[in-house]
Amino acid sequence: MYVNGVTLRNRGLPDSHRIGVYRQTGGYGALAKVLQGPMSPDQIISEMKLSALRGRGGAGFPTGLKWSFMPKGVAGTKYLLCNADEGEPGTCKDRDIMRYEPHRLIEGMIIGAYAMGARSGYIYIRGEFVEPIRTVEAAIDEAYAAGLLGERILGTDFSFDLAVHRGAGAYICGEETALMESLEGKKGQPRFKPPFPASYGLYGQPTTINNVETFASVPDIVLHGGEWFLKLGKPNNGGTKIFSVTGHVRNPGNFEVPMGTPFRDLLGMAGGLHPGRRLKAVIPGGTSTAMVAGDAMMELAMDYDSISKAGSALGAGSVIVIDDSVCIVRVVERIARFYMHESCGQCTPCREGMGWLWRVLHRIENGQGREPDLDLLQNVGSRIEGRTICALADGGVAPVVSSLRLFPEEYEHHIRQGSCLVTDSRSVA
Amino acid sequence: MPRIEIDGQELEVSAGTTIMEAATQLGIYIPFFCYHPKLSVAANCRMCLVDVEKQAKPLPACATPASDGMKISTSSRRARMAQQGVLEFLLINHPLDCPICDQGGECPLQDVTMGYANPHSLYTEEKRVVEDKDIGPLIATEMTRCIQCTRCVRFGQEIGGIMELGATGRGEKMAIGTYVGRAVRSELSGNMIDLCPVGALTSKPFRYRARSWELKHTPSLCPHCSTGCSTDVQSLGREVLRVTPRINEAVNEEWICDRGRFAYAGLGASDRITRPLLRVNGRLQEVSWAEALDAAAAGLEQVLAENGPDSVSGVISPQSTNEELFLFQGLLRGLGVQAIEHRLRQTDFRADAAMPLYPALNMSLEHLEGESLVFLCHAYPREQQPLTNHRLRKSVLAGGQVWAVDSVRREFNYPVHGLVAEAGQDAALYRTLARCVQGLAEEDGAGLPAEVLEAACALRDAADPLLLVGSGVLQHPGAAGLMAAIAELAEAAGARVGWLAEAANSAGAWLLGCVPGRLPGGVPAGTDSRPPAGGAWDARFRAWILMGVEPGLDAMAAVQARQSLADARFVLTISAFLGEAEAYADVVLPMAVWAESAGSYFNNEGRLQSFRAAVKASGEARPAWKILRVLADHLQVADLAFDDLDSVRSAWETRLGDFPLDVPAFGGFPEGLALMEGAGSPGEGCRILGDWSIYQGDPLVRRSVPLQQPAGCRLHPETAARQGLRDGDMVELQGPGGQGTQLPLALDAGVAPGAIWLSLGHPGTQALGGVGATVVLARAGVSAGAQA
Amino acid sequence: MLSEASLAEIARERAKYPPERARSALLAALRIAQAEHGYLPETLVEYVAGLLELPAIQAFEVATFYSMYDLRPVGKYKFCVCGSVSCFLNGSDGILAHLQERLGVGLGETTPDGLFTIAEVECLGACKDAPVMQLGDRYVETLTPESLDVLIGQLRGGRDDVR
Ligand SMILES: Cc1cc2nc3c(=O)[nH]c(=O)nc-3n(C[C@H](O)[C@H](O)[C@H](O)COP(=O)(O)O)c2cc1C
Ligand code: SF4
Ligand code: SF4
Ligand code: FES
Ligand code: FES
Repeated sequence: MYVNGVTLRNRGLPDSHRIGVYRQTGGYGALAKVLQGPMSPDQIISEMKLSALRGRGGAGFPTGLKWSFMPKGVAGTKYLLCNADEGEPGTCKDRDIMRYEPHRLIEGMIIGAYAMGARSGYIYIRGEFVEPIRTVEAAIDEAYAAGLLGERILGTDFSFDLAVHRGAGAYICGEETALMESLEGKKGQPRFKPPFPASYGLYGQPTTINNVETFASVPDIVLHGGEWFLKLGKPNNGGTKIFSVTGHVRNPGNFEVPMGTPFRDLLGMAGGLHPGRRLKAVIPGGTSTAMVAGDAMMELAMDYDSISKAGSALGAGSVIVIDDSVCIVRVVERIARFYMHESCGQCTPCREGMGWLWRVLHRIENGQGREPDLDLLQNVGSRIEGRTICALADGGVAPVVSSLRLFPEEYEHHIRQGSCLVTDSRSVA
Repeated sequence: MPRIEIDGQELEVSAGTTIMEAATQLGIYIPFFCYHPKLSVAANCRMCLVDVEKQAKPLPACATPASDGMKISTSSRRARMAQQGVLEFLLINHPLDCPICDQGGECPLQDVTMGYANPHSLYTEEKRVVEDKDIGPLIATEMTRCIQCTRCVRFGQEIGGIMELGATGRGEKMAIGTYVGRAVRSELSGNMIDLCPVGALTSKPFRYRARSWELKHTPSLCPHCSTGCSTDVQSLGREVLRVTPRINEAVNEEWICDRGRFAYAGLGASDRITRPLLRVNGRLQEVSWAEALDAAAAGLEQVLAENGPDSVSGVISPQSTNEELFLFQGLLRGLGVQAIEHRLRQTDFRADAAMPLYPALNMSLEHLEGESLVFLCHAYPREQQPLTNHRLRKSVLAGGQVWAVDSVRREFNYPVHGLVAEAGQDAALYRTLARCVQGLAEEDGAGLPAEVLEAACALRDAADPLLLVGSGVLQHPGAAGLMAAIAELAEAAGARVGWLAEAANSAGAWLLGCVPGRLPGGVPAGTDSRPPAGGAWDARFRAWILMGVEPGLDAMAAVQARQSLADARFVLTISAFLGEAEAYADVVLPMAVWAESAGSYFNNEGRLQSFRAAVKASGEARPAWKILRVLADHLQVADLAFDDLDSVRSAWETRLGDFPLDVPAFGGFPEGLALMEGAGSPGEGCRILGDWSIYQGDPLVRRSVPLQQPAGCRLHPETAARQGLRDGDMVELQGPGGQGTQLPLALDAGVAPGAIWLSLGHPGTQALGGVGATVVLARAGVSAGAQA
Repeated sequence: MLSEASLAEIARERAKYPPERARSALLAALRIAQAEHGYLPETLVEYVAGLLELPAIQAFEVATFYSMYDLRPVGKYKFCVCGSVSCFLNGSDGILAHLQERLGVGLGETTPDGLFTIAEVECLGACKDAPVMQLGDRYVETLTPESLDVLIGQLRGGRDDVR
């Protein structure tokens, strides 16, 4: 199996974040191939399409297709943005790429900029990631010093500037248009689409945005070809993908495995469950995706299509494992709090509905639930879903509705007995 | 051209049309809150969700462009469910305090709730309470009612041009407020009250005065500037309780400024006169109309008989209606009086012959939006004509340029290139510009400030520049020279020229002969009728007829006016307010004030607009046109015996005849016009600059308590430093007559060194001598800030 | 109101963006100002807005939208403990309870000596290292009551280079 071979390949090497180490392991070879080969922008994009690389930020949109949307021959600067806002509970992969492989990300962005004619780029990193920010900034400096960024890269006519923009604490800035607003110095409130970023993005200019892992996958695709990458995974689900396995496992971590790897194997890599525990549920793609019952999950393969067939989504590959030691109502109440706290507040259903959901859940959790509350949660959820500007609100509804479907007895127990069906034996204090 | 179908009706729309706009074209109503046709689309309230065939989710009509073949349903089950769902969310945290809410009866949220809400709310959690903020004397807030539609915030950014309200916090904590509870200052702020779809922002002066459905609505006009905005005067019984804009795309779109909205609060001023007054043994006493009219006629006849008609001066407010202006000049001319004036703020009349038929914008307000280069010549439309200024703002947002040449740097609500004359060098600056525009090709303009060259280049290179002449020109002590210099510049630059007329009916005053030397229609009145050197307040006069004016506050030459009026043999004041007339009037006739009377105005475009009375006049006050008519009767002036307002109107219309809306901006200037500049050197004192602020310019607005701002003065930091003065100090100012006044000082690098900026129209500042005079300053007290 | 060093840093941030896009540097300018003063008093927010020629309310909107800005004074060490799901599953509630007990102050409060503030924050993006907290420029991972006790002792002793 091809494990930890693409975006995290150098993770174990000392000083893997330095340009020297990266170069020694073939780094910037793809860029040289592109610029000196040379490969035309169209060739790059067709390799990207062939690779079936799908956006690693959560939505899984085919990257090659996205790149082909960027208009050609327009006036003014085109921008390329990297989304390193990584904020969805359960997601912690981009941080490792930035800490251990910043040059892979930078190389991917330079190639992307070349393919799409972008003159300027920003990496939007969440503000809490101070250490990764410093690592990436140092790597950018190294790349400038090596003539890989700035004017006339590697002596060609191609120029590209890149800088880090720091966030300041807001999950919503991971949403691509909120990120652009934030980059413009505003509150991170998503824009209504259309217009889409490819025509009206940062500063109103054509813009493409991709996730850190998406960009970090680019150099190998260019070096080895789209076909190679595709074959690492499954049709329509090309390549390998990092899965952040967290929660109730013995050895949580980031595991880069081929698309389609059975969940069972992934769980094994993460050390399995704690002794004596039973798998209750898994959130396969970060808290914005629906819960899957433990048993069902054990039979699933980790790729976009398989997980969505099971009624959830692969999201950013953030696998949250929940065993039988915890009450699902508590877990969901905690997740709902996140969305209430992180709603940007502009859409009525999200601003008002997220707090409503949490308040009802909080009541239930504290033994003040009432019989009609379960219907109420469904009802409120259905009024939110699909009626907001961005997908945050849908993401906040998914865990609530899916848990109601999967674990009605835990909710009912709360309402009728005023207490948990399971006693949480794991809390540390 | 996409063809679409909404609720079964087909329609072809232009590309980019939203579903909301298309529905409006068809007369189909889609509920909405955040959408507003004059604001950017926020799409945040989600009330306008509609059902679009083949779309997985309902789409917001306000933000979704109609595309070919779309089949839209605004009231299918899915659309209704979505709308109902959103409404429920809006209501869960909305207080149900409609019975005590001023918005009640005119509240979109209330209306939509009637039509769309599910009567049984499922919400049982505690409602959110949002802390209220004091954002100044004009807007009352009740932030718990806010539905976060951000219309108010977008208004500030997009229309008002200064962002004062913002939405702070995020998620359900998002709340509207100013920066740390600061007061809103925008001159357009009241429009946010109209925009707010709930009772979160309401009118503070109107608060709890009446329920909206009790109010009588009278379409009216704003009497406070030459834009002539359409308003709706709302009254209960005899009292005006509220003024709001009426939609008039050609003039004010759907906005009015705060002056127009809140000046009505001055109607109830304590010095409102409701009965005629007569001076008996030195004191004014209430008398009957008959007595007062007899006394007025007798007093005037005596002066006329003993001193002749050239000893009488008539001064009428340029806020007067056409009918009043026409009768006023008719009455005076019927008495043989030539000195008829409405220009209170002007002191230099040497170029009267060069004045146009009327101060015409020479274009439509709407066209102003499309200008690419506008030079404001001593004009500050932001305070003088706020909604005309709004058109200029739009021209800038559309890529145009505005330059402001003035004796002080003014604060605009859009980017403006400023060019400030050195103290007393205003005309010289225009001359220099004219020379540069002509000579730039040969001469490199060495030694000139870069901005002057830049301005000249802009003018030279512009295809069709426009100069707008503002009231600062006429207020200048050397107005004639300034006008001539501007005419030179216009000629050199091949620019069109328009006037920004000062008052609501300055145009009418010119057109209907309320200037010496011109009869209605601009017909010359004869050679001997030029104003004397002292204008309307010349020592030659022995008697005055004043209508709607308070010269001690309204006149640039207030010092002289006061003196003359104090020394007068006879003064007849026709006014709504007693004010300073108490000191000098012999007879005071109480007139109905705006909102109590009817009439017509010409606005800056030459647009004739009329209005009706909204309420009955207070007490025994009478419409001014009737007073003038009766006076004419008493004084045996013929041909003014009109029975009603319509016949006055036909009479002036006949006299005026047809006239062109666009007129030459300048006629001929007299030979050898001296510039009259450069008086007063900084060593001896400071040269006065100043203007009537937006809320100080006429008797009504200066009585509106919520609008009042204290007087102050501003100095260049260098000037202040030389005098040992600091920001916030109280400064003692000594005028020519020795009168002193104390004002708080603000430092402002936009005031030319050696000059002092005063807010005019206040009793203290009007005693100092007017623009161009010199004052001596000293520190009067120590400010708290300076002590610390 | 800001030191030369801070102003220079803001100028560097400013240079990252097109000349007419000063507003883009607002987030950074507020962060730099906060780093110098410990928090963002209202006058400082307005000052920063002035530096970038923005309306004060715009800066205030931003300062209240993002969670990393402190508009009230906080302790020298602000323990931002993640309470989101992966950390929760790994005992973050216990960590927070332990901290409150040890420091004698509640969530959002600062110890009387001005040293410590406890805050519960949402996911820090380090879920595999749960439970996690952000402490200034760094993350402290796989927290246990014992490791916290050691850390608090070291910070009290003036050492702040602890991992
Ligand atoms: C609420 C919300 C939060 C998001 N957060 C992130 C994030 O932290 N990182 C990310 O890469 N994408 C995030 N996304 C997805 C982005 O909007 C966008 O789809 C992605 O950056 C595109 O990159 P990709 O095509 O490479 O995945 C988020 C989306 C939503 C709706
Ligand atoms: S759905 Fe929520 S987070 Fe997304 S734009 Fe609307 S209010 Fe903001
Ligand atoms: S105050 Fe009124 S206009 Fe402003 S956001 Fe709230 S509801 Fe909308
Ligand atoms: S009116 Fe369309 S979303 Fe508010
Ligand atoms: S859940 Fe705590 S770091 Fe992500």
